Amino acid sequence: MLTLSRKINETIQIGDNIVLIVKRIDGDNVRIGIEAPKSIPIYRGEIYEEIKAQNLEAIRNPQTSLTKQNLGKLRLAAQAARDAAARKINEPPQSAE
Amino acid sequence: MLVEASISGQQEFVPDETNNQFFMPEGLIGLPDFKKFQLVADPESLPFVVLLAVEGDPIQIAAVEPVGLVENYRLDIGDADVEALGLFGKDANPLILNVATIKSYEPQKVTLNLAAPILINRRTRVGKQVVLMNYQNFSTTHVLIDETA
Repeated sequence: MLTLSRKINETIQIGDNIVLIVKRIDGDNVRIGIEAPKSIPIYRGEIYEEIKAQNLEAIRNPQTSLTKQNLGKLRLAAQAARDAAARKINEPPQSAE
Repeated sequence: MLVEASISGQQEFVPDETNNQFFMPEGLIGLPDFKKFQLVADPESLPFVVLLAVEGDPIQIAAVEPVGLVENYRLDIGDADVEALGLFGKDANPLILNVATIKSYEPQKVTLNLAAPILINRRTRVGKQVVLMNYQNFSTTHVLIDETA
């Protein structure tokens, strides 16, 4: 991995159109500005780890299969969630008081 | 690109049993080896569907079609993902599926990943798990039914 030392307001140029700027350092907190084309997705690294963990937890092997019966139980719950969402949309926030 | 999964934009998923496979060139996030899936959409379990891996280990993943299920679920899809999935013109309305983590078959024990839905181009059947541009507005562990609500 390439490692560079930078001071505040110094930049790192990546390729032709990505620039990182060190905006502020506050204890163990670093604020970094990123200039990049809109087509380049930029995310905090943790989100990937979170999604990965969710996916791994969601996997079922055939032994604990997602049977029609089991999912059928959740169908009603989903219907209830749908009704609740519809109510919230139809109720203006003021009238909730 | 903004796609709305709301009641007003309601478009019920219609299972098509003759052609229900789709291809995810990059696999799921953290599971790059599973690329080809069969979508099992049983009318008795909709909006829950099951994704079955077609090649390799026969893993299964439950997912939910979120239309109407989550209020204000507006998906901001980045340009690169719009491009990768070819969501242009008539194809601008992908099938949206949220991975469901089922700890047990009680609604309070089921969470949905809203931050990174699986989007599938309905025509080309190419899919991708996309981290939304506005992922910070949504949880990766949205409880299907919050008992306090």
